[in-house]
Amino acid sequence: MCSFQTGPFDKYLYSGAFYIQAASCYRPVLEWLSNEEPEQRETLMNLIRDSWYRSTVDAYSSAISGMGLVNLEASSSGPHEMARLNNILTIMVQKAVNGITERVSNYSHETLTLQAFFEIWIETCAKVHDDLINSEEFIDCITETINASLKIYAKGNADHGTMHE
Amino acid sequence: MNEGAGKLDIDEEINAFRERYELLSEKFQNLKSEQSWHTPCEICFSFEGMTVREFLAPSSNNPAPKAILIVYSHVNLPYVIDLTEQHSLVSRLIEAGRKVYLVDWGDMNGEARSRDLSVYLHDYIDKSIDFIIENTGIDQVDLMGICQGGTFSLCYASLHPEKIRSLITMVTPVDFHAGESVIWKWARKVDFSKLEERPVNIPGSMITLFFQSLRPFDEMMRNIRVIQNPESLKNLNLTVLIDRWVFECPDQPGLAFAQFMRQFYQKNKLVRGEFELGGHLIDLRNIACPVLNLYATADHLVPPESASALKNHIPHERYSEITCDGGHIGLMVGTKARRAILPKMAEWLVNNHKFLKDGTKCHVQEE
Repeated sequence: MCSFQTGPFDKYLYSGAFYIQAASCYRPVLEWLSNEEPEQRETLMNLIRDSWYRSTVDAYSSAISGMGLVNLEASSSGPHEMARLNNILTIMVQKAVNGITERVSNYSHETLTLQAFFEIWIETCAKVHDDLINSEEFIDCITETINASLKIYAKGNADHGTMHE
Repeated sequence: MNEGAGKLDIDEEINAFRERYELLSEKFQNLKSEQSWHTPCEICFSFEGMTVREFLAPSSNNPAPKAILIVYSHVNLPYVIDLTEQHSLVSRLIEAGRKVYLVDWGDMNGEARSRDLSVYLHDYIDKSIDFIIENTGIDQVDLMGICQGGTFSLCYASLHPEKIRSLITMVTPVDFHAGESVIWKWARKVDFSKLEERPVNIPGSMITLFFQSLRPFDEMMRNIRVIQNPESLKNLNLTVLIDRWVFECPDQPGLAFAQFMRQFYQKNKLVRGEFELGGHLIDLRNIACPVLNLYATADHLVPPESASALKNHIPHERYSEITCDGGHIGLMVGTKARRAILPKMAEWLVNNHKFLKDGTKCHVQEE
């Protein structure tokens, strides 16, 4: 599952899958809210982290692959930037997890509906993602990646007229 | 907590969601979603791959010929302005007594990569305007620019004020640094010189991916609401048309794209009065016609601060604006557009460049 959708129809499929995934975290959330066992909180955070990591980190990884940067030689900046990007995204995932659990803890297991949980999930992710794409560290990383991509294509594919996808 | 009951509720809710999704998928598969123009139209002029499309109006609607040329952004395809009868900018302009023309930039082939911005201004738009003037017998044309096409239109109206009767800009970036758009932030440090030196066209799929990456979770929420809301089945045809349009970004001509990003986004030359094209300096103060500026207050692609900066460059007696709550695409095809924005725009055109009640400013609020 990837949070960047690739076509007009599969975007509903991906979004639906994301909803189902959030729903699968809902039951552990209710359990945590009903007895607040520290171990359950940890389980919950792992679930959210795993889901978020897959949806977002995979999206950026596939975007970078789409730009052809996976084929860069080791000496170029591509792999370095990918590692850096991965690191930034991991920090962001933690922020999302903390944000979701913090907001969820304002509810009780009786008041938190699945829809409310999903909206908290999405709103928190949207806020964290917005902070991410506006952060200088992320922009620097993306800029380096785009510059590397432009360099490769201008050098190697000018005869084709269009960048190869 | 009654775990058994809770589990049942959740399972039921998920199953209900799955059923709604399957119903939606089934409906999707039966819908026609090819690109098409709602209003009958024909190509009336072409030049080096660029074409001008004329929308055919019932003759009784056009007693005295007035014509408007729409210059759409290069970043998306223009058919979004004419999706259905209700969601058609073209229809509203025809109702306002205009013969409606549209510049279609054409397919991006290998040759397009080396086309610079002056080709778009000096050749494509200028030749289109001259064609309309010659074929309709009018002296001046109304010009309407949408998004990037608005920036092109501002440049053109500054270069050829004698040919333009009025100018409408819609979601148009003017001050590219105002409002700190994500596009500006990301473009600041990109080295476009490589692309200028050896231009290659940028695949449209990369542009789509870029837009998708800006607000993926908001988009996901919208998609879930479409699945969950039984009412959405009624408007599915429109939803499919818009969805398809969003994913159909055309390839970008390498050189013109690089020039646009460097000159406008990086150096902000338009509002600084420093943008030069083919030996001509673009000075927005040269624009001599009435101007109507339409923009959205929650536009994340063209921040309102960027679009509204136009008022600092046009004398207030010739400047009008329509603002609305909402975002970039909603201003063109949303419910508010259909009910309030486009009729207001038509009113401005018909009513001698003023609104009937609100003078020169109008704000359309969230419903």
